[in-house]
Amino acid sequence: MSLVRPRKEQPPDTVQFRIPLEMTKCDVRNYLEKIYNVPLGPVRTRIQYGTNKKRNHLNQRVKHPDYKVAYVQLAKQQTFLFPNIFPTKDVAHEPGSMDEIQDKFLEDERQRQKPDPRRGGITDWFGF
Amino acid sequence: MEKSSVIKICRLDDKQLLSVAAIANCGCQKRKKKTECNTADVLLTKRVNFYIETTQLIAVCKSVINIILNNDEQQLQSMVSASNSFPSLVEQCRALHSSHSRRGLEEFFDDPKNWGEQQVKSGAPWTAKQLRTKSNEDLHKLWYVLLKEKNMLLTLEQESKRQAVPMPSPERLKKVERSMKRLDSVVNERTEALRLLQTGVQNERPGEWRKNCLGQAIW
Repeated sequence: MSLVRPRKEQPPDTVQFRIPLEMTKCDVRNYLEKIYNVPLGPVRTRIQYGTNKKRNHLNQRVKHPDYKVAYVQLAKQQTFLFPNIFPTKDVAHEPGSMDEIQDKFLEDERQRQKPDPRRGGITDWFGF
Repeated sequence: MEKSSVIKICRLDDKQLLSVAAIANCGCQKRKKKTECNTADVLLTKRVNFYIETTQLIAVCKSVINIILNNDEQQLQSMVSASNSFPSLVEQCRALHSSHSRRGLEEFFDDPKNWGEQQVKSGAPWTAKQLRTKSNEDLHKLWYVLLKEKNMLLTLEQESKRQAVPMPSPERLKKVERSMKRLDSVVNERTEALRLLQTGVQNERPGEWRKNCLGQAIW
C-alpha cells in the first residue's frame, strides 16, 4: 500500500492510495484504522487497467501492471495535503573537495558563455 | 567601582537603558561613562534579541495550540513551510507527535529531516540467525515496523517517479523485503516444529498423497 499524490484535484479530506488488487474496502478500512490509527469516513475503490498497447524494440506488446486505487475520506473534518517530499536544498560543499572544484568550474563556464555586460544587453548582431 | 556601575545598569528598566545608550551616542569622552555606555548597549541588544525570540516562541506556540485543537494538517504544512523565517525554533516541532501511536498518515513519509536528501543511510537487513533469537511478541512487533517502513519506501518510490527525481537510497526496499521474507521463514519454522511435536502431522492442510496425470506425487 502506498500513498499517492492525486492527479486530479481531490477534496481536502480525501487521501489516495494504491493497494494490491486483492484488497477490499473493508480490508483498507481495517488496515488503516488498526495499523496507522487513522479515523476514517467512507472508502471507495476502483481498478485501474494497465495498458497492453505499448510495444518494445522487438515489436512485442508490453503489459503495464493493473493496480487498485482507494479514495479514503478522513473523519472528524480532518484535512490532508500531500507534502513536497523533494524540497531543493542548497548544499555547501566543503572547501578543497572534488564537488567544490566541479561547481567552481561549471560556474566559470557559465560566466564565459554570458555576453559582455558592458554592452548593456545589446546582442552581437549589431556590428558596433 | 566599575562592577557596581555594571550592576546598576543591569537593574535599569528598558526606557532608562535606552536613555543611557542615547547618552553614549552623544559621544562622552570620559572613560567611566564610556564603559557604562558600552555595557548598556550590550545589554540592550541582548534584551531586544530575547524579546524577539520570546515573541516568535509565543507565536509558534499559539499556532501549534491552534493546530492541536483544530487538528488541521494544512495549517501545519503552512507553518512548516513558513518556518524558513525563524528556523531555530520551529525545527524543534518537526513531527507533531513524538510517539508512533499518535502519528497517523505522517508514517507514510520519512523523517522530515531526510526530505530532499540525495542519500539516506540505513543499516544491514535482519538475518535469519538474528531473528531466531527473538521471541514471538518481538517478531510480531518487528513485522509491523517493517511493514510500515516498506509502505513509506513505496510512497517515496511512487512520488519520485511522479516528480522525475531519483529515489534516495533504493536499496532500503530490498533490505526490508529480505528481512520480511526471513522473518516469515523463521515463523514458519516455529509453527512447523510445534505442529510436528504436538500432532506429528507432516502437512498443514488435511489431504492425501495422489499422483497427477504427469506421474508426480502431490498432496
